[in-house]
Amino acid sequence: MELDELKIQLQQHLNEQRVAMPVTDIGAVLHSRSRSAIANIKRSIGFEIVCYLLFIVTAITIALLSRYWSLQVYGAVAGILSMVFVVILLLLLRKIRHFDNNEVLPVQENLVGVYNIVNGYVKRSFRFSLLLLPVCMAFCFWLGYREPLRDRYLLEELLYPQGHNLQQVIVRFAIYATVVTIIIYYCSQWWMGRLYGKYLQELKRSIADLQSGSLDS
Amino acid sequence: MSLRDEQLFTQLLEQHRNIIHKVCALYMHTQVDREDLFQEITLQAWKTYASFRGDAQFSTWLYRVALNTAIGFFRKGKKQPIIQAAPIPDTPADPTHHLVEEQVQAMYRAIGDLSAIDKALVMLYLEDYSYQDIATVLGITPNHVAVKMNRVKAKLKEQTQKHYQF
Repeated sequence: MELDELKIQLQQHLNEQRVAMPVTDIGAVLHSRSRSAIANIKRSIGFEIVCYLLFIVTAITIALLSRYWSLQVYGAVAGILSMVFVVILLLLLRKIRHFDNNEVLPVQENLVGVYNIVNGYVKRSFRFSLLLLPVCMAFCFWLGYREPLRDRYLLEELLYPQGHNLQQVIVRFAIYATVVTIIIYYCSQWWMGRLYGKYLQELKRSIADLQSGSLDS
Repeated sequence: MSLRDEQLFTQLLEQHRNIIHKVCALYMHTQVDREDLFQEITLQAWKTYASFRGDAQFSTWLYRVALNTAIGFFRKGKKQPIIQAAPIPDTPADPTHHLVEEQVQAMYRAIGDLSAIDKALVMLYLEDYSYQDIATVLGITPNHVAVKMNRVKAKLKEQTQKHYQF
């Protein structure tokens, strides 16, 4: 039995398919919320921007009002860095919006575009969380050892309230930083995989499927 | 976009909504998923409507939007059940008709088992699109379409033959 033999019947069969949706609903659908992966990423980036803005306000407040010099410096640096991240996120959002609302691309080009956006977003989020964490911790450590608190340093006070030497504080800090980084690494990997892992795999499969059999490949 | 654009778009989509129905029916197997996909295709078409310049037919443009959306529209969770064709009408007096209906169902099920890309190929082929037009929608060369179409036909033949062996 060949596809061509049943072409007319299959055309008829497909034409009989209906989605149970009232005719008047199209107008309402135009104002509803998209649930595509790209729309989800846009919402995630929007949420990140809001979080960063809240953090900037908090960091600047700390920088201006804290009585500790180390916290003032940390607040100011974190606030300025967050502003840079907000700009990066806004540029990314603009790029995604441009892709999403612009001309309708052929299927292959569209799939590759969506894959690049989702994959880029996952990688960026993953690297951000992993790279920033040790940097922030090292910065905290450095600042913590530059501010005397009564007769001791702030970091020493936090890590060893009973009083120990610098070497022990460094060891404890290194263990703490490593454990937190490993936890964050696996949590980010799990979360990103759960959100977009299967979707990326499916996209990759579809792109490979579309490219298979090409005389150029 | 203005209210007039919205009205014009709604009108155009009403005339071509059958295209979206067909894509939804082929790519999604439950009513809920079909409704979700219908909504997503309509939204995508509306978002990109400004880019429709009228140099291609609206139906071709809508197919491109619909297939782009359907291929990238994955559902989380359990594996979808095999696509079901409409029930065969009760026509005991016409055994030939019954046989053809059975063959159509078997072929339709086999199409349902194809990959998202192969489904798109079959759908456009059934709509009598030329290889050149299919190539434009999918973004590949006409030769590539021909190679893929031959493979799909062979796959469908094999699948339906298997169906009759059991």
